[in-house]
Amino acid sequence: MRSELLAVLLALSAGSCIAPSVVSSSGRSVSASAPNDWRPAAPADLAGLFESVAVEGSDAQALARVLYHFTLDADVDAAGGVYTGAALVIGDGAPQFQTLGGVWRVLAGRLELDGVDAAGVQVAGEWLRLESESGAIVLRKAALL
Amino acid sequence: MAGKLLAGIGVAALVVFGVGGLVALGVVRERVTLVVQDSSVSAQRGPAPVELLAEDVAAVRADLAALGAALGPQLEELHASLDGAATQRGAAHSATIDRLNSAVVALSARVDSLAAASALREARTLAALEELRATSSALAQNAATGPGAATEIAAAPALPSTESSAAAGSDSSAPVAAPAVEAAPGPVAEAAPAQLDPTPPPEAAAPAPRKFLSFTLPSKSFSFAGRQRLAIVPSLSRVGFDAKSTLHDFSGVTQKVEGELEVDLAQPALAPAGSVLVDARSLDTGMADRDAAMREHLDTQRHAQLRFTWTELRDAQVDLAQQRLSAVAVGRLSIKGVEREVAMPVQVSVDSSQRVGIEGELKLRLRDFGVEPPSQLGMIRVENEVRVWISLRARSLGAAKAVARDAK
Repeated sequence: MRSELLAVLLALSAGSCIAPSVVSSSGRSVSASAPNDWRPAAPADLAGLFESVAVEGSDAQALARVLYHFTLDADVDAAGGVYTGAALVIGDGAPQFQTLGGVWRVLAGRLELDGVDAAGVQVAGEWLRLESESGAIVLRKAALL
Repeated sequence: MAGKLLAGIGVAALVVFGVGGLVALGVVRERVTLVVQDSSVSAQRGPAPVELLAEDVAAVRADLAALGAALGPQLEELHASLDGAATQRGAAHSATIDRLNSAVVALSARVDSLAAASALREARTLAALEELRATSSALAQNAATGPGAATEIAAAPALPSTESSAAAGSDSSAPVAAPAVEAAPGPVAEAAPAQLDPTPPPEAAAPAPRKFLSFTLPSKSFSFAGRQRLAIVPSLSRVGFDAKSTLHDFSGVTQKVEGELEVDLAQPALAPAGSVLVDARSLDTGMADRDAAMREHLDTQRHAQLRFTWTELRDAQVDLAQQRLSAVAVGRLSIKGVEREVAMPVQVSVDSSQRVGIEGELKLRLRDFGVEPPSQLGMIRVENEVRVWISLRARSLGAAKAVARDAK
């Protein structure tokens, strides 16, 4: 009992030395954690499955989830291959999935889907950032299985 | 004989009348007094009734004249204002009628164009069917003659359908102009016929679906005004509390928050509804021992969720231009199964991604909810009063059912 009291007194006396761990009011909001060492992507960076972790922008707000799977295929395009994509789109009714499929290529840091310039593409490790004028999506590489 | 009888009756009648007259004279004489007086005497008693009547008439006439003089301008003014109002109403009615006429004309034109487009499509479909039938017949005829029919089948026209475009686009062996959209209902399905029709009908002038990374997005964008459903995005939301203790102050935070709200942000007083659910077990203060004690005090085994049920937005101030709203969110907060009404000042805003942000905080006493503030040996104590805060991001799920203006 005496030792416990001593511990409490010691803790009390040390209390002034312990910094408070209160979240400041300006730090309450959540900001998506993403790397800041982005670089223009090369075709090889896109191979694999990517899942969205953050969707930004006026157009992108209608997308709840986005997944892309890019396959490198030199027979299709030296700088790309084939892809499939799925997005959960939120409109006035119930959310609905849209799926895409076609060919892709990366040229000078721009992603082309089916021959149409779609977005600027940057990578940072396992992160992928697709950015157009009206929105951006940050995706992270995911395990296929 | 008869003559004598009549004479007798006449004499008797005369006698009766004579006697009656005398009796009446006797009676009247006692009751009637005749006074003969000089006219000057009567003048001293006061004005004659006729003169009084004349004076009254004159007074009434004067009153009427004064009333007429007073009422005249007012009546003229009233008349003028009634005329003005009638003119304004007439102008407003004319404008309304003109607008209605214009709307009717526009509607008629739209109906006509729709009918024309429908007829055009029907004609094209019939022509295509006819051509297909002819091709089929030719194929049947050529079937016996050998190869060559296949080329004619390939040349056969395609009927307008979404399947044909999807099939054409799904061939990934070669680049295509537009991405294939597989089994995409809604806006995509509506867009498909327009791609096949070289001359789109007038209704195609409606806002075109937007494209983002080749996905087709709804043409309707976020609107601050209008009753809508907002779903909390857990990955962008946090709920927490700040507590003071004798040792040091600390916060407990969680992102395991969910819920849906219904509100018209431009008219927040119109029956807001919804609830925010927080997983009490996931509150993290940064110290495992303290978290365990907190869960014990909150009895999270039995009451795993903290719930705030939103019932009213009070004292709302709306800035439509900035898409901001400040108000006091009133509702019922349930902690450890104890429910109390609370009022939390909140700030609502819309970010660049058109998500609705809700920030707010309130102070509450733990004991009000049956929670005893944690204490170690009675010396290291957490104060009874804690500050609860929310930082939520919500995504619009679209329009919600309208609510009557007087609903609360």
